[in-house]
Amino acid sequence: MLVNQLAIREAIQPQPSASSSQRQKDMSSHKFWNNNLILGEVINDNGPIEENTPYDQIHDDAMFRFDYSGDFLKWALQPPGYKQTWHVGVRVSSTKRLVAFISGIPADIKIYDSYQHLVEITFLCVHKKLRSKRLAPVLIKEITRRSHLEGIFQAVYTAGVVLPKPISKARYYHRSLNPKKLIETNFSRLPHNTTMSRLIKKFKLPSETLTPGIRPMQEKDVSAVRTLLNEYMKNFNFVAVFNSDEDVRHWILTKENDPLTKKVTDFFSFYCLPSSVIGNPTHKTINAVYLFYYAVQESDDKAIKGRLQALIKDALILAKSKNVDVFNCLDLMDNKLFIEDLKFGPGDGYLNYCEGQLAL
Amino acid sequence: MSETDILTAQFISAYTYLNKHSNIKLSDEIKLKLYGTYKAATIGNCNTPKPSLLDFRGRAKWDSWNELGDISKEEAKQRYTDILEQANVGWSRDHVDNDENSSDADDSDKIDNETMDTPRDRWTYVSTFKALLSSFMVIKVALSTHIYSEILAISGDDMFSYVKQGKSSEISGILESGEANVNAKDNQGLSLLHWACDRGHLDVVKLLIEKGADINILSDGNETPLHYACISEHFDCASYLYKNGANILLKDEDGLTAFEHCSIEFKNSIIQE
Repeated sequence: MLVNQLAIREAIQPQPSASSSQRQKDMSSHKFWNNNLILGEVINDNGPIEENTPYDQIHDDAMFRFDYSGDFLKWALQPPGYKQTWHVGVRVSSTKRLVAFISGIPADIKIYDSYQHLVEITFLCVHKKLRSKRLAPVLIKEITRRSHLEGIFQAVYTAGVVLPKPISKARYYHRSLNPKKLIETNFSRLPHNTTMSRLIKKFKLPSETLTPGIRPMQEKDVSAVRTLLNEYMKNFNFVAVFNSDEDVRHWILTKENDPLTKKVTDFFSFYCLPSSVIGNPTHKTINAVYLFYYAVQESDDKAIKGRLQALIKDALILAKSKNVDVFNCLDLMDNKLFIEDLKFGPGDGYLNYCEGQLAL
Repeated sequence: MSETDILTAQFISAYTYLNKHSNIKLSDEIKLKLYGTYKAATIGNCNTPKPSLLDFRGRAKWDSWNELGDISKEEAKQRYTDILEQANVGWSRDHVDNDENSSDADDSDKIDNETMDTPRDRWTYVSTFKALLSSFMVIKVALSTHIYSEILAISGDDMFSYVKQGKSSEISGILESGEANVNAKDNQGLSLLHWACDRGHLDVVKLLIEKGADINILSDGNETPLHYACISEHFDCASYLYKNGANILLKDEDGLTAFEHCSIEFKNSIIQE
């Protein structure tokens, strides 16, 4: 059983620019293999890489696209100990246009009993016009080289596609909070013989949380949360290790206030990552949250199950109260203990975890 | 022609066909098999180094080629043509005779690029609920069963399908003919008006009421059509029912009125409108 909860760290698909088809023509006729690449520019500003594209100019058949904000990318790319040299952008030398990007962050993981300090490859993106130009292998070689320079020879990454030999594989599960909107956006389907009303009643939640003493996590809780989390993570075989309070502060404590209970006997966290809805006249965005780390101070399965069900139900209630449309998780950690009872349903997405030697 | 020549001709015909018909959709699994056998048929046994850990696509393709081991080129050609024939994409060994210009594409990269670029080949995509049997298919099945079994009678089930889909002209036609009961209920105890409100088809709601549907008709759970419009937050429908005298005091089996199922804002804007 796995888990790096790093569903966040997936490759991004930059949106193609529609601003100038002429410019794109110039670009695609560039001879990319003739040293027109500048490797190694570090991205410092966090504005949009491209202008948004009008919906009718997107020709792929994806219905949703991750809608990463600048803050989200900073969170994902700049954890404690991050290295600027592991954020690698590729620009066209004449126009300075950013056309590809790869990033890695330092990660500490434990696989069974072995601890490893390695690089986690988090994002890889190539401009739409340049796909199938073999730019990805160039980026991969470069990040490999830069990892070697730091004395790191192992890597871990996740991908939605089926990988040759994944170390682990997790499936996405979704819990409808706003079933009507999810149906209107084709995120889910309304069965012919089911009423919308029945579905809405099925997913209805109380307006207030149920766990006594639940409150947002604060700075003073960081250390207790780290102890609790690392202890709980001993239940699993492939995990991220939180070596310092700084890690917990970065990954789990947020300004938005993640909730936990009073004496820090339990905690949970989730993060927001909306998806843009492509080609829908009424809805532009699906507000999605992803269950992140959590821990409970119980040891036997039955107690963990009861505790987790109560906690995650409160997570659903909190998310619903923040106008979230869907609550996502993977079938990792102890999630199987609540997925069904809390009315999560299987998604069509998987996350494959890959780990191994980084060789040039 | 020797057997080997025939096999080679079939193989060339097969991959030429695939190159010419780049719109053919194949599963990743089949694409990978075709890739591996193509390489083994043209180059021989796998002779390239294993691609990088991060080059998952390169690795998948390499694996597919490498796991064929030391099969002969003939065996690989045989397998390639078998795979394509079984994929049912319009190519069979019969093609070979009419295929004159078969030597134009010895380009495995072309095959790679054209056949390996579906959305699911990307590193990532947004997961959504696993697709259920689409409602469209269910309707088709339901309709075709009725066409064969009850050719003469206009089926109540058809009416329900039309209502769910919001097909007001069809509904109007059937109601004009007088062959359907506008207050009929289905096996879930729901009337046409309940379904029209649930799906938010205002024109169907109007039509049904004009044709004499009972605006306060109760489901088996004692819910009125207004309950469905309110729970599903179809403002137009709820507002129309309210204006046309729907009884807002009726309670469902949980003891709740329609307006107790929706937000105060929703209720107020209907009443104030």
